[in-house]
This record gives sequence, structure tokens and C-alpha cells, in this order.
Amino acid sequence: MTKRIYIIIFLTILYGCGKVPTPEPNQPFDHFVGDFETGNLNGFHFLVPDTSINTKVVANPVRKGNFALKNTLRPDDYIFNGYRAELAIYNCAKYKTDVFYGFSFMIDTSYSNQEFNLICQWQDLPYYEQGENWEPDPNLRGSSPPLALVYVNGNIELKMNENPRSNNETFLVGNAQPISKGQWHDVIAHVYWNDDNTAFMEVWLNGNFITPFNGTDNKYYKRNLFNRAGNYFKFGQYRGKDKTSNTNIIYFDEVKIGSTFNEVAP
Amino acid sequence: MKKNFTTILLVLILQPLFGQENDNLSRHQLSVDFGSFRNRYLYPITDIQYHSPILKKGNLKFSGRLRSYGTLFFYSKSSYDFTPLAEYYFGKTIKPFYFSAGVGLDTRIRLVNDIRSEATTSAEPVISLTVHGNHEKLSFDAPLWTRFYSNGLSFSLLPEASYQIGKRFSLFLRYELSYLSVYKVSTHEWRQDCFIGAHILF
Repeated sequence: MTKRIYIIIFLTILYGCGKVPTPEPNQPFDHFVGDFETGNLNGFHFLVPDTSINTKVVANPVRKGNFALKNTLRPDDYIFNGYRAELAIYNCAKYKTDVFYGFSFMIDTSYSNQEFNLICQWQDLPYYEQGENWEPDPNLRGSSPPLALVYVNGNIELKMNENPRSNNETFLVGNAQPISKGQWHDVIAHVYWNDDNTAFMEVWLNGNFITPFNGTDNKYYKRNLFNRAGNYFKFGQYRGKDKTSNTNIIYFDEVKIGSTFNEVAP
Repeated sequence: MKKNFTTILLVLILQPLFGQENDNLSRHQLSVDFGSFRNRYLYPITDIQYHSPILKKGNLKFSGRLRSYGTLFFYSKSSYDFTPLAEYYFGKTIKPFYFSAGVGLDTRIRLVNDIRSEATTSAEPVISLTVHGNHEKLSFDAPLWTRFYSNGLSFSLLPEASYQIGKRFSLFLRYELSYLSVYKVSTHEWRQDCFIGAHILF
């Protein structure tokens, strides 16, 4: 009888304990539709100095429907340690999940900068479960995001970073793709998130693969999580510590996150 | 039987090689350390630890470790771990090799205010088994901590080597290797951290 009481007490204590500080794989992620048709920006998280200027919903131009987003980055738009005007979506790039992302963008004809500009990125997160947070003191990381699409010198480049301790070791995946200003371009990315090399991505630009053919398919295998806290998705404009010399405008529409190609296609 | 005999023989051969300089059983000990190299990147962690002297009755020793994350300067706005332990020592004096076993609580205090965070404050029971070793001014401890969670368990091996400088002061290096296992989905993760620090006896 005493033994049973001890067992019950032990099980009760265990039940009251927390979970192992490592995320379970394949957790549900948030499906998302950001087509701006409501005329507002509900559902997004803002990394912009002034929403009334940096992120305006406009009726022209649009990729589909009646509204799109006009994203403006001015030379002095500095916030959260960088020159940026970005919108973020959380809970969409978790450890060992298979996710499709889609969005359309148009580089404004007045866009004049030739330097790099991240139009979307999947940024890593601190490993909260294991005690981490943003901006440790001293900050020993400061890395480029594991995965990003960069507009530079009239091209789109798919860039990866494997080293969480470096911000100058990014590498190009596939070839740079020329981008015409004043035209809509559709991007779809299929990503399996993992912290080992079973992780992969396949990315389409205007329906064509930009990830290279590997002999079987166009999946590019490379680990894309620095830790198991996962990543989160941001789009807009990000220039790091490099100030832009001009005001640059990029339009976005049909921002979607889902489980299949068709769910996120514009 | 053969295995036990080999172990006894090994201890008898090694015994004369070792001295008994370390006095950490009979005195209070305060330790500070910092690290760490996580699996793939550096992330600052600081520890302050206290070990009581061994009690005359019961061979018990008490200790507490307060760990702060995200800083080398101890004060953190984000996360702390507090781990008190009560350990039974199999013997009251320093020997070349000796053992201890204990129980305690690992309390994770998470203060992060970010909706992306799923970290929660909680406390889990810990069982500790430690082998200690001494050789003149060198000491070696290798605790094995088993933590019990509602959905799994973890094992942490925390080997530490310290070198005594003077009567009250020693420097140490500690490596922590943890294996975290979740039952339900059969997943696990290895984690490693490294620390450098000092013990002060008083």
C-alpha cells in the first residue's frame, strides 16, 4: 500500500513537471493568407519605422484582386539594429516541418540601388527553450539568416548561410535570376526545416525552378536551422547596416503559407 | 566476480599515486564560471554555485547552482536555472576515488516576453550520481544528472577538472554533455556546453 502511495506521488510530481527543453518535430504551423484584400495589415508583425509610409495598402498595381502592399524603404529607415521595412509572420518554419511559401513582388520602375536588398528571409530564432534570448551580452552571433532571397544589381539571388557565427559566409544556390522592373514576379518556396542535411528546399520563380537539378529533382539539400527553435518568415526590404542611398519601393501581393504548392500559388 | 576483482586491483595499484590535497569536503565552497560553446554557436552563460561542507551526521552535503543565460555578467533579463541538490557521500574523508549520490530540483525560470517563445517556467526532479577523484592539486568530478520531465527525460554528464592554487583557490574547466529525449515522438537531441571558472574555499 505504501509503495503504491509513493508511486502515485512520484507520478503526480512528474505530471506537474515541464516538458523536455527540445521541440518536438512536425508540430502544426500557422497557415497564412496575406492578400491585402481586407485593406488592412492584420496578421502581420511589423519591423518598420512608420507603418503609414513604409507599408501602405494600394489599389494599383496589384498582382491579383483589388489590393497589394506598397513597401517603401527610405535612407533613414533604421529600426531593430538595421535599415529595414519588413513584415513578419511567426510560427511558420518549425523544426522538421514541410512548408510551402508563396508571394508575388514587383520592383518599382524608380528603384535605382544596385546594392543588396533582402526581399524575404527566413530568420533564425533564439533557442528559447534552452534559455536563449535576443541580443545576449556580449552578442557572439550576429549571423546572416539561414535562407534569404536577395535583390541585387537587377537580379534575384537565393542565398543560404550555414554558419550561425558569421555574417559574411552566405553562398548562392543556383544561378542569379534577372528581374524586370515594373513587372510582377511569383515566388514559391517549398522548404523542409531541419538542423541536419536532410533539410531541403525547392524554389520556383515564375513557375521555373531556381534551385539546381540534382540528378533526381530540384531539391537542394542543406541544413537550414541553426537550432530547433525554428525560423520565422519576413518580407519587405532589409539592408542590414548599409544605408540605402535612395528611397526604394517594392510591391508585394499574395503572401501565403501552406502545406501544398496550390495552396500558396497566386 | 572477475570484474570486481579487476576494479579492486586497479584501485590498489593507483592508490599510492594519489594525494589528498583537496579539502572541499570540510569547507564551504563558492564557485563562479562562465561559458559556453553551444552545439553550433557561442552563447554566454554564467554560473554561481555554493557547496556546503559535509555534515557530521548523515554524510550529507548541500549545494545550489544559479545559472543565468545570455550574459557573462550574471544579471539576465531572460532566463535562469536554479538547481539545489542534497547529496549523500559514501565516506567522510577525501580519497583518491569516492562517490556521492543525491536528489534535487532543476528549476527553469524563463522570463522571455516574446510570442514566438514556447519556453515555460517549471521545476523537475534531478537525480545525481557522481564519481570524484583526487591527485595532489588536481581534482576531478563527473556528475551524471538525470532529469525527469512530463514527456521525457534527460541525462547530463558534467565532467570537471580543477587545479588547486593555494589553500583556498582553484581553477576549473567543465564540459557538459546532455542527451534530451522525448518519449512520445521518439526524438532526442545532444547538447554540449563548456565552462571555465574558479572555486573558492572558506
